Amino acid sequence: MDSRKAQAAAFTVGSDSFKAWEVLPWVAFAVTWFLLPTYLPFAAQIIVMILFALSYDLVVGYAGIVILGHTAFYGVGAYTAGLLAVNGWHEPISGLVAGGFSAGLVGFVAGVVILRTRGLTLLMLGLALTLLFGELANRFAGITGGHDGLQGIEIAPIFGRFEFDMFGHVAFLYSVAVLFLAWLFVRTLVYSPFGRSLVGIRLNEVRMQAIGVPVRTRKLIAFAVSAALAGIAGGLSTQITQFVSLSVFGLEMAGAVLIVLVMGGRGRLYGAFVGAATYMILQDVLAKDDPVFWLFWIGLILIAVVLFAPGGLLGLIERIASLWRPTSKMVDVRRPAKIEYKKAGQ
Amino acid sequence: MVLYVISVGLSITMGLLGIANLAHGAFAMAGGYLLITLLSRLSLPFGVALASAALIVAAASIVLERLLYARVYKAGEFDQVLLSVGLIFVASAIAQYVYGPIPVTVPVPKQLTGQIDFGPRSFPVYRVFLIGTGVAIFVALLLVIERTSVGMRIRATVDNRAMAEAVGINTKTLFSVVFAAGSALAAVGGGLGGDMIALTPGYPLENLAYFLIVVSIGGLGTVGGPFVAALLLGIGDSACKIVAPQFGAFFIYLSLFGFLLLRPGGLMNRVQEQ
Amino acid sequence: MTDSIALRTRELTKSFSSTTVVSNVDFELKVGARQALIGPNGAGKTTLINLLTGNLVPTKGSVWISDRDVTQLPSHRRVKAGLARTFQINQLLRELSVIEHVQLAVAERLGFGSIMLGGRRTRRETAEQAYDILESLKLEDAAVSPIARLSYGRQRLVEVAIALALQPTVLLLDEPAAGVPPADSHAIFELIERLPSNVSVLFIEHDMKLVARFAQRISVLVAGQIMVEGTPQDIASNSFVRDIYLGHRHHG
Repeated sequence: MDSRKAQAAAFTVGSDSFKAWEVLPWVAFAVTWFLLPTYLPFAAQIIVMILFALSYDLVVGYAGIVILGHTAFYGVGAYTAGLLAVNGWHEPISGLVAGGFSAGLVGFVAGVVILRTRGLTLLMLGLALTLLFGELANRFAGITGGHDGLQGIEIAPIFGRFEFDMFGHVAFLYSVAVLFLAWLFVRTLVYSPFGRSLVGIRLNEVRMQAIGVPVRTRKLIAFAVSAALAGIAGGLSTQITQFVSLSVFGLEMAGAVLIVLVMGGRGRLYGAFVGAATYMILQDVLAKDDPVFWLFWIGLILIAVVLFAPGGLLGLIERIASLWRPTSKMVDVRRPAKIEYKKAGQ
Repeated sequence: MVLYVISVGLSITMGLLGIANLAHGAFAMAGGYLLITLLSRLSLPFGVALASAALIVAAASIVLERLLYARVYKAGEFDQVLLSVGLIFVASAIAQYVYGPIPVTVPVPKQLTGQIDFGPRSFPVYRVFLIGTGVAIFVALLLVIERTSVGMRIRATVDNRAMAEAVGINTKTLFSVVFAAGSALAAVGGGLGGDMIALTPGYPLENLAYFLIVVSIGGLGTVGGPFVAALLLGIGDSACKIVAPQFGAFFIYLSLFGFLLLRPGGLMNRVQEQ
Repeated sequence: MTDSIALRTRELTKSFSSTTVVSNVDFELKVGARQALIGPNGAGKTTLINLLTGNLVPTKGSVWISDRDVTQLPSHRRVKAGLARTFQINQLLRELSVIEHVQLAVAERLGFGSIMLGGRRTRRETAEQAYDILESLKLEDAAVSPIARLSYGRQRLVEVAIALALQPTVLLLDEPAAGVPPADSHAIFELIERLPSNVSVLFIEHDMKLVARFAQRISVLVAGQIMVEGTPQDIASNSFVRDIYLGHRHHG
């Protein structure tokens, strides 16, 4: 085969071979396990946020559906897992799956209705949805525990053997495992033809429609899948903290995941990782002493990022990296191509 | 009515500038806080204090617009939302630092306290005053926008910025002016409403939903839309409190949801949704 | 008779509020045609294309692909039925490379677009086919360049490449040569000439030289109606058409 064609085939962006630095997050988790055992519960929370941010990135960063209020699905998953446990179903993995499934279902139905709109309306509808759910949960406080939250959540040992301990060992490993599976899934999705078509949809819907892509349906599927993932994140949170309250539907959480993606970088798989870790660590360090201080600085950071580094931290890293290496891996052309009369389209 | 005054500024800024400025509530908050300071520290008469507060906020908003907002005009809604959210945080933090976390209200000026009798019911004078002011502002805005040449230029730019520039309208200055005006209105609303909606550092976020609802339902870019929307919202809210008190906010969100689905452009939309 | 007609409309009409942009158009595109759609600006040519592709819903009338009524079919389904179009203004995917543009089209044609998991094998296949198409338009040396790096003319070529990647039976080209230097526009049209004989092509064009050279048949659209149809010679000698084009003689 023509070597240039082979080169082009190999190059095609989205070539999904694992790069060396992709192992970093898992190394970080291992380091935490061995060297920072007191931080395991905190690390588990970061993992939940990473998972949530991953699901949000699918929708906002890849498919280009700009929406606020993804917490609606996170919350649905969280409460599903919580309510199951409170009402006698203590098995964690099935609880998690149930959370994902119910969130995915809600996401599908909501998507059918919401995805017809765009711009400000879409933004608002997402927000309205999460506020609605919050209100609903509040009104049925008898079942959901209202502002105080759902108490008495007991989670049975995983596989019947690994019991959740007080120091968060099992919770941490459980979270890492869940994140690993989710990450594998999302990564494969993003490099698949489906995932690439989502990027196309984000960049130019008209163009994608013109090549035969059922744009509305694709967006809906992406939306539902993302909602399911968000639900799993919520369910995970409930299971490892053994608590869930109305805050899962709240604006603070919705804002947090937004900031996470902005800081980390949208549409780049690892933006969620970098952003979540940065956000939560910063919050832990800065907010403890003075919440006003935290608010001020996070606001300033947000403004700065929007103005100067719209690609987030990963975007910055990319820019720096491109100074070292030339960006275009252009196929080497030494002679002009031979002109052959070929039948096109065959 | 308070909602109206604050929100009409937002409708125009969003419609005209086409940007999502969620931080509008921050301008209202600033107006309210400044009013309190001016009244208590400098003991200025109410009217003067209110006007000054509005002017200060307007000036500040111009600075912000030139420095920050102008950069994200082309950047897409997401970035604009982010910018305004960042501003909200910063503003709230500053507010908390300067004024503390406890809610404060604007003292009603002496001339406007007391009750008025309208037939079988009696209303607080201040409320009537507010409603009257709201209507007056509505009428004034309507006249300015529909009748004057400035208004005409604004309308032209709302419809099509490129064309407006092509015929020689200085859109950059226009933007700044309108932005300032919108912010000033917000400040006035925040100040006047300081009796009903208390000033707290959380003001912009807590009431954000309301502002956005009024603007979304009322449609962007018009003066009348938010007026009707605010009215509807106010009436609906009160009606709900009477009829089905358990459901309060739920009703609001649900109707917002339903409404946006049926008429995504709002009630009286001027701006083309792209 | 219907099996030799690739594309047809019956009484196709489109009105916006009070203006009728396309009015009772009965149009036929024969299989294997190389047909041009010409007319003064504002005649409704792009609107007609949009009606054919399904981007616009007609106020009245119907659209047929072969003997199939596709009036109710959304645009992406019509693509599956063999209809492809290019846009008057390039519709590109700014962050992606040239070959990726074509790859996406190939992937959709092969039905890979719904595959969520896996993709290595499909990626290889789509890349190879995409590369072949780029080669036929002499774009293969730019395959891995970001699309933004290309000149406007070459971007236009990519626009055509994407349409070809869909292996359409009916190809609608909206001013393919607009803004393109002569070398590239000739490349496009020569490519069209080399297309298989069962592919039918309709192109909107203002450049009369290109129309005269490459069109076997011309339809003239004026004020939303087909005024006259015929061979290039017929049209050139038609006094009515000459009157219409009196002000448009810049291409001679």
